[in-house]
Amino acid sequence: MEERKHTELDKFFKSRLENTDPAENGWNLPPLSILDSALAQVTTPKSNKRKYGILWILGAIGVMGIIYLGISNLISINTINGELITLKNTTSLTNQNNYQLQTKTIDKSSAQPVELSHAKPKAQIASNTSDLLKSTSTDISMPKSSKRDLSTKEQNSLRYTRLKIAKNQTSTSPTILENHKSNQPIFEQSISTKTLDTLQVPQIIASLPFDTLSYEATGFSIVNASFDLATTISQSNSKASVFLTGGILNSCLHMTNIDAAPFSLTKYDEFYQGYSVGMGAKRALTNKISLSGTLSFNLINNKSLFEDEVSYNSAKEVEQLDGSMTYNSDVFMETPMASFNDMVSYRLLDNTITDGTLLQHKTDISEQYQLLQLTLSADYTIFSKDRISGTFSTGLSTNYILGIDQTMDSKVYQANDMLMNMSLSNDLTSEVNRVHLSGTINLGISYRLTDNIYLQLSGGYEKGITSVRKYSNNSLPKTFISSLSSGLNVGYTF
Amino acid sequence: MTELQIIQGVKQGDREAQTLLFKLYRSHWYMICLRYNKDTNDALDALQNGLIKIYSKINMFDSTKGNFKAWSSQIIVNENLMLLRKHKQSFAIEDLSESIDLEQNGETPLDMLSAEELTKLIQALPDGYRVIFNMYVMEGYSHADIAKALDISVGTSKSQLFKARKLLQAKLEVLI
Repeated sequence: MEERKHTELDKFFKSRLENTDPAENGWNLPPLSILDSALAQVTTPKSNKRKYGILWILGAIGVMGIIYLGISNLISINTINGELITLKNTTSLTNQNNYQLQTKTIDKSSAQPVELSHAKPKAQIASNTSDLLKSTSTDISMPKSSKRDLSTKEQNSLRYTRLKIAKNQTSTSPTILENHKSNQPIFEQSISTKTLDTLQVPQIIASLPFDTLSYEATGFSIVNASFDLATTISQSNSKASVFLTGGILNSCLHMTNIDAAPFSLTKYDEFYQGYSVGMGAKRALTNKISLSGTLSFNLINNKSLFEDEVSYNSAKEVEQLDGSMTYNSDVFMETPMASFNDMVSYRLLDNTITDGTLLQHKTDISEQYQLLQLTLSADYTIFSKDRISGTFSTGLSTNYILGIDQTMDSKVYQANDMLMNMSLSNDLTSEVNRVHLSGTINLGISYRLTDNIYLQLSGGYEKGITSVRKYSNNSLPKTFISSLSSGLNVGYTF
Repeated sequence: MTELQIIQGVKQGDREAQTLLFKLYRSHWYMICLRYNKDTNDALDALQNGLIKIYSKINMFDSTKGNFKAWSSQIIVNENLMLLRKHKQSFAIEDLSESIDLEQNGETPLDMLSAEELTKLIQALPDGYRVIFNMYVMEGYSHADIAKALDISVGTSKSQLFKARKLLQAKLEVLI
């Protein structure tokens, strides 16, 4: 055959194939069902648009939440006082029968019952009053004459207190104590099947310790909304990639009872701030599914502020060898992560305080957590269009607590004058399960900047599976970390 | 019913017009898909994807700026390219040693070769050759347009076309 020029070859193919009917050349014509299938999907762009819209809205909400939390953190320390849970003049019993006695200063004309509960206090400063109350019956009656006595004692600046005692072992239904400042429920799970009588016990009140600072919870859940760059979402069509993460953690803390204990609305008033850095890698299994792993380091600062009134007891004054005065009191404190139980000495700046004087007590508690988090997740690409793709991922995180440092800074005021103070530092690392697990789900939107580099905006939820806090029986609180997060990743695909 | 009336009907969601448009152009669209894909199933996939695009974007078609056949053909070609990209990340330079496997029925005069046989010749080309040959020869793209669409250099496009022609020519010589 004579060799044809290329242009002739082109013309030959074009002329012969340009108007070819496949039906006349051995192929079947495409059936109408193809059109039906195609038309069925033509309507999907609307739903896709809706889907994209929802994802963008979720992302926007996440970003706005971050901004809100960041701003609220800045101003929170100034506004927290009015929201704190305070239980006036609360005394807790930590005897073997798990009694807890709480007393409240009341006005004679508007006496309200204050309940004694076995519910676990989160923090309290106890005293020898415990011994006085250990023998208290669960059924206490008060003669009418006592009320008259009380009136007399009130004139002598004694406080009236009504007590309600509940026994742990007979618990059947929840009772909720209320914050008498804000009328918010304080705690629950203190119940008795017996008739609860009230009693005014001036002699006990007279020996009330430097008490108060009591709050309670039977379980904690830390809702942690964060700007978390450690979230991992896969990029569609990428075979493998590595990414670096880093960011700022801004969190609020909400406390709930997780286990069998009734739900509590107790507000823990904790605020998290911190940082997260990490790196990860992922590998695509198919066009839509990939696996990824992330290792991140989180440094989180957690602050709480407690405020209440205390009654001064001069019997607790101790003169030191150098002539200075201290005020000794037992401190029992529980936080979501750990507990502290020890006697501490307040530095007494003024020893002219008279017994029974009501003082303002403010305590700042700071805890710093250092966490190492390894997350393994499976990612599924929901959609992919041009440079944008959306991904859903679910995974399991193994969290290792490197350390928990706690400091407590407590001050006692009369009006604006500071009368005593104390400061404590504790390492609570040994109090927690250093390894705990959590599950994660995430939604993310990726934008491919170049063929290799992409940005991701994501939002997710993390739920603790195992307790952070050690517990030996069901009466102790468990702590599960839960977090809502939104973040931004930068990835490199190769 | 004229083509413009059919297109207008499709824009208004008229099911009958949608079917008429499909019947009018399915041969043309399908042949494009067959030329770009070695496998008929892949060709049908590409056709379906192309139909989705054509029917969902038909409101964007302006008859005053071009004819529908060219407009829809471009969409079909693009869908074929996207499908090929999914199967293969890039249109790499092909090796000339790759053979063309065409069933031979004895010596045939060139003009007696059927469209099916010629299409199979194109289908048998390596991916890169086939795509560039189709885009340049059948669709009339320039090398610059091909280079841009496939993210390759103009030189690569020219080189691949040259090699595709050489392969086709050699195969035709064998057949004839």
